[in-house]
Amino acid sequence: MKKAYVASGLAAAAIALFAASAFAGEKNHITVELNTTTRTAYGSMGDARASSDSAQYIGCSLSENGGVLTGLCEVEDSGQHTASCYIPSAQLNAFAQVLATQTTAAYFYFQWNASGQCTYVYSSSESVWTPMVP
Amino acid sequence: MQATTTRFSSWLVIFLSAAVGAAAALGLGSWNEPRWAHAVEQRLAEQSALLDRERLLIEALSGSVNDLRSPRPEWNTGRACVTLEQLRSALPAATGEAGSKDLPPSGDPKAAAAAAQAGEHAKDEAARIVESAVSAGSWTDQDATEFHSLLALMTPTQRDEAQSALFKALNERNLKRTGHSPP
Repeated sequence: MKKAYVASGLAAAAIALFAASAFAGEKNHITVELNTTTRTAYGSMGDARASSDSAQYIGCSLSENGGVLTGLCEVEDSGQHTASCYIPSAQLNAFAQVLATQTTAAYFYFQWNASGQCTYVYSSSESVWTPMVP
Repeated sequence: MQATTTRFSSWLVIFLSAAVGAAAALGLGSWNEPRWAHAVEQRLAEQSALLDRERLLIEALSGSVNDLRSPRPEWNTGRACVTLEQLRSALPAATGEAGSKDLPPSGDPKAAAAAAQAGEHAKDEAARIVESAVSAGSWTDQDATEFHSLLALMTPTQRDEAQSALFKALNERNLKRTGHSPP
């Protein structure tokens, strides 16, 4: 009888361990941070969307109008501070390649200059980022 | 009699020689004609097309300038944007799509200068839209639509300058986006 209890306990522990390992893996939660002094913004799309406030967002986009491509990145933090920058014409092709890697679990980091030009855009779609949920 | 016959023969030879020479000259002329005529025709067509492009460009620009001088009553927005559609439709034909590039495909310096001038005009319009939006404190969908229409008329350098004016205003001058369009 005692053996049966021990076996059941071990089985339960094994199941618990297995279940835990199914949800393991590195996870980074980074909500939107915006610094208008250093003109830097970063954050994960999933965490911005899942944040308790209704203000946060971050992302970059590419659009075409009349045969002309334009690209931009924009951000708003929990304090409703906003910033945006555009991609200079000469860098649009490179920017399009960066955006092509974007998924719904993406993290953005970008910087801009006083003229409103994006000077650095980093987009990551690694598994550590929170996927967006409705 | 012999002398008369000889004189007549001489004249006949001269006449026939002249006739043959003239016929040969005409024949050669008509042989060469298609080549130079084709070249002249081609050149005339090129010049005509160039003149047509420049006429279209001048008409578009002068129309815009006149509209700006005397705004129509229906322009209640205070922004001279109605003629932009005219510009937009006229310029690609006038410049051979040069409005969206720094140099026109033909490499024609006159067309390049005209395109750059049209781009400057579009950039000025874009700056006016931004200033007007700053005064109103909001960047609306209509602002965005007009602004992006103008971008298509500019060279890449002019486009960057116009966008700098907008994004600086968005970042530093409390210009709030109220629509759903991208800036």
